[in-house]
Amino acid sequence: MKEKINEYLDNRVKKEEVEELLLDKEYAFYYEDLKKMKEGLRELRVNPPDFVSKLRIVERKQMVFRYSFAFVMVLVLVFGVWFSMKFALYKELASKQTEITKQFKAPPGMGIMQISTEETIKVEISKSDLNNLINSLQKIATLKSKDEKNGTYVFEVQGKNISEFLNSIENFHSAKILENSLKDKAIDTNLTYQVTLTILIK
Amino acid sequence: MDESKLIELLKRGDKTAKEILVRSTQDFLFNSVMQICHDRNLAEDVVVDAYLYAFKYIKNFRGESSLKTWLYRIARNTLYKHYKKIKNIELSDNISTLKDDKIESFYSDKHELLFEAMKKLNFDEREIITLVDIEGLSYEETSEILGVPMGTVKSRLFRARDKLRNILKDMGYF
Repeated sequence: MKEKINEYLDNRVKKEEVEELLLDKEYAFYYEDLKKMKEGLRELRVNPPDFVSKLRIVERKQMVFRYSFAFVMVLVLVFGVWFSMKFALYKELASKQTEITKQFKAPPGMGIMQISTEETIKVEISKSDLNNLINSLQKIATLKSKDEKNGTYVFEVQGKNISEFLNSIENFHSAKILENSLKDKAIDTNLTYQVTLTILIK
Repeated sequence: MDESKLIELLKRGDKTAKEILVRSTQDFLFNSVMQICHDRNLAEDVVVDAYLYAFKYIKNFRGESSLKTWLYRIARNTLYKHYKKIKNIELSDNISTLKDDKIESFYSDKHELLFEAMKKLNFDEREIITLVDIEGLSYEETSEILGVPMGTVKSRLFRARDKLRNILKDMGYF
C-alpha cells in the first residue's frame, strides 16, 4: 500500500486509486509526511556556480600548461643539440690539442720547446762537395732524414745554431743559395727548426 | 537546439555547443553531485572534471542514452574515483564523514535537519532520493541514469523514503 502512496506522490497513479487508502489515518499521515519531506527536499537545491567561466579558466590553465611544457621541451631539445655540438667540438679540439702537444718536446733542463714550421733552403753545389757540406752541417744540426735521389736532407736545427747553420752553407766555396725561407726571418733561439735542404747538383 | 545537432557540434569541438551543454545541465549535475557528496568544493571539482572528460571523449558518445544521463554517469564515476582515493572512506555509506561545515551554512534550521537526515542514508539511498525528489526526475529517467530496471527504482525509492521519514521523525521534523 505504501508503494502505491509513493507512486501517487510522484503522480504515477490517479487520486481515485488511493482515495480510499488515504482515508486510513496511518496512510494519510504517511502521505502527508512524504509530501512535506519531498517539498523540503526540493528546497535543498542550491544555485550552481557558473561552470562556463570555471571551465574557461581551467581550459586556459591547461593550455598554458601544455604550451609551457612544449616550450620547455623545445628548450631542452635546443640545449641538448647545443650541448652535443659543443661536446663534439670539445672532443675535436681535445684531439687536436693532443696532436699539437705531441709536437712539443721538452729538452732536459728547459721548458717546452716548440718545433717551428718547416723551412726550406735550396742550394746549388758541385757533386764533389756535397758530402763535405752535409758533414759540416751535421756538426751543427741533426740530420733527421735524407732522400739522396731527390737530393733532400731534413735537418733539425736549434734556434741558437741557425745563423751558424746558414753561415756554413753561405761560406761553403762551391755552394750557392737559390732559395732560403729563413732569410729576413726573426730567429727564436728557444725554438727548434726543421730545415729541408734541397740540393741541386751543378 | 536538437540534441543530435548539439552532439554533432560538440564532436566538432564547437565552443558555443559546449556552452549550451554546460548551461543546460550544470544545475542538475551540480545539485545531484552535491547532494550526494555534501561538499560544495568537491562537487564543483567533480562537475568540472566531468565536463572536461565529456568534451574530450564526446567523439566516443554513441547516443545510446541522453547527454544528461551520460554526463551524470561521468560525474558519478568521477566521484567514485575521488572516494577511492580517500581510502578511509567506505564507498557505500560513509560519505557523510567528509567535510561539510561550509554546506550547512547555506541552509535554514529546517533544511539543516533534512540535510543531516540525508547524511544518515547510504550512497544508493541518497542518490535515488536526490534524483527523484530533489532533481525531480521521472522513474524512467532515473532508471536510465542508474542503469537499473524501473521496478528496482521504485523499490529502492520506497525503502529510501521510508528510512528518511523515520530518521526525520526521530529528529522531530514532522
